[in-house]
Amino acid sequence: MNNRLPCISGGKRNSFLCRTWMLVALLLACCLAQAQTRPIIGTVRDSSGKMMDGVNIIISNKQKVGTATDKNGRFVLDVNDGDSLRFSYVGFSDETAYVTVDTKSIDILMTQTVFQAGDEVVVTAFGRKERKEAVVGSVTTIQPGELKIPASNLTNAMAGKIAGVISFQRGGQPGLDNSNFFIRGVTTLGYSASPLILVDNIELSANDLARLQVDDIASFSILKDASAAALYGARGANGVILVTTKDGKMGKAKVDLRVETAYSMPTKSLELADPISYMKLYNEALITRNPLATPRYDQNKIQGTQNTLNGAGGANPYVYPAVDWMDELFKDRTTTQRANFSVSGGNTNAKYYIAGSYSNDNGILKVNPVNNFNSGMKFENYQLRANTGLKITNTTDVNVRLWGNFNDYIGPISNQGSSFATDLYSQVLHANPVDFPAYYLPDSANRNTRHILFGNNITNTGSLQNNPYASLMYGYKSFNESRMSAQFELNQKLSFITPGLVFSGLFSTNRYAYSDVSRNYLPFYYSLQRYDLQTGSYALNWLNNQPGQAQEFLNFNPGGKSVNTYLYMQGRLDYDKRFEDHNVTASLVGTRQQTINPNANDPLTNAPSLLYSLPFRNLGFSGRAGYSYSNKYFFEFNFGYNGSERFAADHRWGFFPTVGAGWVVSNEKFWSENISKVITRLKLRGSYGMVGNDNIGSQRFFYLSSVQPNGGPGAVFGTNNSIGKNGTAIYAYPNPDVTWEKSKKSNLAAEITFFDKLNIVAEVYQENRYDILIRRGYIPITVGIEGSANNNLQSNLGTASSKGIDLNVNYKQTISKDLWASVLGNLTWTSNKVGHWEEPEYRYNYRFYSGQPIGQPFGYIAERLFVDDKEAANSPIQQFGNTLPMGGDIKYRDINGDGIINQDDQVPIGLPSTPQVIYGFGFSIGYKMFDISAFFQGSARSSFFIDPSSATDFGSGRFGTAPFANNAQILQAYADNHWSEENQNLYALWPRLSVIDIPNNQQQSTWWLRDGTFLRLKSLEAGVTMPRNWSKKVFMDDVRLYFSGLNLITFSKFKLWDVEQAGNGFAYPIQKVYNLGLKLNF
Amino acid sequence: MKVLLSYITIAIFLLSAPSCGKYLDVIPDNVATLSSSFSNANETEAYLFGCYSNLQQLADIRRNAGFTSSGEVLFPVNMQDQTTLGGAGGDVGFNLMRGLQNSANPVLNYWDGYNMGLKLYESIRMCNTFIDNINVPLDIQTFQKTRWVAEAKFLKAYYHYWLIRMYGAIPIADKAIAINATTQEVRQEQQPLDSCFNYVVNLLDEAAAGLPPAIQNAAAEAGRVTSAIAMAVKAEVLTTQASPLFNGNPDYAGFKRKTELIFSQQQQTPLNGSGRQLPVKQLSMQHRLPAIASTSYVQLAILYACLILPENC
Repeated sequence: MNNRLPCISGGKRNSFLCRTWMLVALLLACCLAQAQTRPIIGTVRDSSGKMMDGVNIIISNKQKVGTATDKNGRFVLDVNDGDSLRFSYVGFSDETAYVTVDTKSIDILMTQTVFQAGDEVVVTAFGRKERKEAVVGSVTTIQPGELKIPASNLTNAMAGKIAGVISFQRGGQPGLDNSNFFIRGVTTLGYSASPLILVDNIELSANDLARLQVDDIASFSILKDASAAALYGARGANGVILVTTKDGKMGKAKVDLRVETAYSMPTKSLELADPISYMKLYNEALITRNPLATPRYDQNKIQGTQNTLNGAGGANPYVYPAVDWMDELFKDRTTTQRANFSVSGGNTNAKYYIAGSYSNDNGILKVNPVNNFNSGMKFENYQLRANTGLKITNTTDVNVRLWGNFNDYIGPISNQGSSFATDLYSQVLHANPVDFPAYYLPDSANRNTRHILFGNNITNTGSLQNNPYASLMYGYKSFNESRMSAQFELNQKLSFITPGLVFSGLFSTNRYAYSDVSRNYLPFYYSLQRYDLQTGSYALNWLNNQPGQAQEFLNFNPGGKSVNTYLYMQGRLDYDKRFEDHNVTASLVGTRQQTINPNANDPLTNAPSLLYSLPFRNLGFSGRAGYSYSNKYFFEFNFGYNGSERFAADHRWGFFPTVGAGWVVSNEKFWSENISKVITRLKLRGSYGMVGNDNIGSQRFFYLSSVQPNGGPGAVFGTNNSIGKNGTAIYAYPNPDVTWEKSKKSNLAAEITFFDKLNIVAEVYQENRYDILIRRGYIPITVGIEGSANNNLQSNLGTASSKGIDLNVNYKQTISKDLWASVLGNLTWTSNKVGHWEEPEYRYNYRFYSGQPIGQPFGYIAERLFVDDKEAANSPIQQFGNTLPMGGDIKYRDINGDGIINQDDQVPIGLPSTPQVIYGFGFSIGYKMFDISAFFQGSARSSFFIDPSSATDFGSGRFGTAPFANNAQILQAYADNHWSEENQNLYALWPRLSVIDIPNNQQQSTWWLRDGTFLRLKSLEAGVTMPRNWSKKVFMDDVRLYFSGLNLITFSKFKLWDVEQAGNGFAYPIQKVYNLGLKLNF
Repeated sequence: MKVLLSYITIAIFLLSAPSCGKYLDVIPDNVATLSSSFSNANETEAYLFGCYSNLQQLADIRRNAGFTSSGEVLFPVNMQDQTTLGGAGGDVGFNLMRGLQNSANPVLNYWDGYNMGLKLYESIRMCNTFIDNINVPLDIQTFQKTRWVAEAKFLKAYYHYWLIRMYGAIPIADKAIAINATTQEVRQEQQPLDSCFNYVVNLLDEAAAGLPPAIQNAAAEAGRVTSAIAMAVKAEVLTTQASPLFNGNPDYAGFKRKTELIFSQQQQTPLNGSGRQLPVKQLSMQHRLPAIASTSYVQLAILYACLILPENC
């Protein structure tokens, strides 16, 4: 004994040393005992044997220590003997395992809790997560991954992918290429039919939605019917788009990185006739209307230009210019780049998700290096997002979300000065191809000139012509836009009051800032003074040499600046309790929201005004109560009670109730095994209720009058006419009863799953909207409304109704271990109708707008072209403008037989330009490490008009295609197919040519009506994922290389330009994109 | 402790609830609205002057068809010059003589108020608004109120009379219709001719009761209406009603609006000022006038004229 423990018994000499050694030994023993913590490995599977990713594992007595399983269901953890591990995962029952001395590895099998395998959690109003089974309203969720397209704009991905969304894109200019989207179509006559967009519970604009990165989105839901949107009360009538961003996940930091680079080009280019045809047809257009006119282009000119085009010897492109303006200004293709990354991770106490992205879209404009500024179009977007979640106590969670979104744009300015050069295509159309070259190379006199020598020509009215090249090069416009958002959220379990009660509070603010600036010089225009054929030397003549007309240094135009702020607070109490078979849930939400635009303009006067700088405020109080029995029967009652400052004090608040019910038939006892084999799941649901729309106009405070005392007409009295006073001028009459639109919606749906693989959701809905604020168009004079107010009287008199079907089908099949396939299809079919619309008592029934679809165009029915002048003289009188029609002009039908073609002959023609049917279908197939998917999107039941005028007022939406008038070129399609005296084709595309506007041919009629139906191969993606063992070698978890394309093929009857642009042939074209991308996870 | 902090935060959230009601009151109090025009007697009188404005404009001879189509005027300067008659469009009234009256853009359009016409229905609405709001200002004396309301009524009657004289049977705008009235309410109906005249006459009677007999303070008020003026106008209105153009005009004999006749078919039995039939023997004038004017309207008109201005009888 003494030998073994010398220190204890020891003598004096060894005591200190002994005790030290003892201490050391004890410590070592402790450490050794600690070192008995050993790593164990394990796997977690679900009941079907599939490995489960992301299962949380904690050591029960050491709450702070834990891990999560990886994609293969494996985990590694340092444990001690006697530790108990707890495994948990959303939707599954918790499992516990004990570590004993013998335990080397732990394999866990987790079973799902009560609801069906594969049943998702759906995000509903105010971010409440609800089991899909319990949802009785119409909520469509889409996997964020489905919205990934190789473009920098999320709104362009929605068409055809979501049942219930009508969406179309009218142009492709970087930064200005948002799609217009409506939930269940356009359902109102009023100011706004657009849905409410909420990202993380805060209201954002469509521009902000466009810039969201798909990789940051955790869930994307659309709330379509009254029951789903009821909690939003007076803001939910047009539907709600609800997006939540990702939160961190427990575990080691995971990094995702995605890089893409793409080529983009127009889907279809506008084709113009070549210069020779232009000249010949111009002469024809002159002579066919006036046989005595002299042709503008003589034979020498035509021959000389032909020589220039052929590049023959003796050709002089300055004497006989032939300019292809499209080619001078536009490149064939351009590039875009995108990159984004995200880091997420955390432990039981803190989780984080950090993401950043950058995208750069270049425009297809050619840039001349001569300028020392770059006016080529470029749109850049930077974003940074940080979502952190903290667990303060066992019952308290805090979330902080910070987001910054920054856009920078630079591009050319055009003649319109304040626009974004959206009219450059139109400028190209209105530039003469043969009168002058785009620019001259310097002659001997201009050897040292530093500015570009733009070509031009003085017309016979003494003015300069339009040189689109100069419009492109003479300046640039840039804007900078930023939105910074900060959000704080607190979730507190109030189990001490009653179990199942949770409070969640949210505070959010964001700031938006925008400024733009443009700089330009004034271009110098030259024409050719003389040209020496032999030596090839020439001299130029400076055209605009008056003082101040041309300058080399840059002007500065500070553009608009706008700032707005947004503040939002929300408090929510949730209660969820299960008593045996009964489940009761309830929520109460209170919100308040404020937006301020300090320098907003009054839309009536276009100047800043006090009233418009006042804050916009909303207060809301809403709630829901739900009851379900045995997961078979679900009932729900929702209400919203909202107030807004837009309405008069005693009309401010509105109550919006809704009821809904659902029945999961497949959970019934009578649903035997046999039926289950075929129809795995059947759910029926319906709802009915009322929601409102308080976005009734850009004008505020309809309940106030707007007057100017002493601003009206006056009178004088007194023997010397000495007493005079002015009366009051009324600019707006008060409408104290102004109120929000109300919408009564009913919805019926069936969700069926066949063979556990084929899912179908079919919904039928109907909506009546009333109290729509409409402009009073035809108030009789006898009411005596004063002057300017008469143009702007609005009243809640309009009504409209709509109905439709949403259909969603998807099918997933795992064919073998390596091969899987899925097919997806969506159909949104809508139809709407105008109810009450204020219009005069027309004599003929067909002239009334009420009863027609919303947006129905009216016009003449065009029969054919006139055979000759004599027939035109003997037909019903068509007098538009000052001239009567000739042979080759359009002949209209006299509907009412009165012998005159006038407004009484205008009937509803075609369909509205907003499509009524949007559908999409696609498939995905994966085999081992390859996958391919394709998606087609189609649009039907819409029509549009080709604009046959020469007007180019983009502000009012005129995109005239008329040749020759207003100095326009001629489209190739018109050159090939028009009525001429040699070829009197009564059904040609373009009637008799002319160099001036012929009003007879420019009336809105069926001649110019075109069908807007199309089907597109919207996206195609093929990718290769590196096998795991290879990617592990480069320290990555996943490496995926993919190629994707957007808008690759379009099928449509309309060939002049991309049919989705509808009437605007001169919009910046919609782009076709070929993209290569790389995605890394590690 | 941490849980306590979180409860405090919740309490703060919930306590911000009571400020709800005032949260939505964003309008500052001193924005100019219609009640600013009636905030005191001075402003209210200014509004009344606004009602008078078109009456004073009617004195403009360029706007009067009786003058411009008389063909009795020689102008020393070229009338086509658009600066001659007070600016562009000032000579439009003379187009009547040039045969340029048309239905697309009528000359002297007193209905819509173009081409040297005036917007009389706007003035009528101004008068109605004035009468509706006369009780708003607190510092108006009762006698002022009575007088001003009477003036507004007179103006309303006079504007209606001008319209009736030009257009025959018209819709009577007795009240200012709210702008959120329904489409049907806004479309006031054309009244039969006799109803129109009766309305004007009744309104003139009401006005005359509140108007002073003569202007006392000519330096400040010369030009304001008096009861004598109201009576004189009433005489003119009754005479107009009696004239063959309106009274039993055979050209308009069968004209109906829905089922009512617009123009009365035959000469009416006499009515007194309040619209009730007078027994024939109460008339003091029993002259048998020529057939053209053989109605008792004329007799009544002459009676009234004599009552007011006896020296002319």
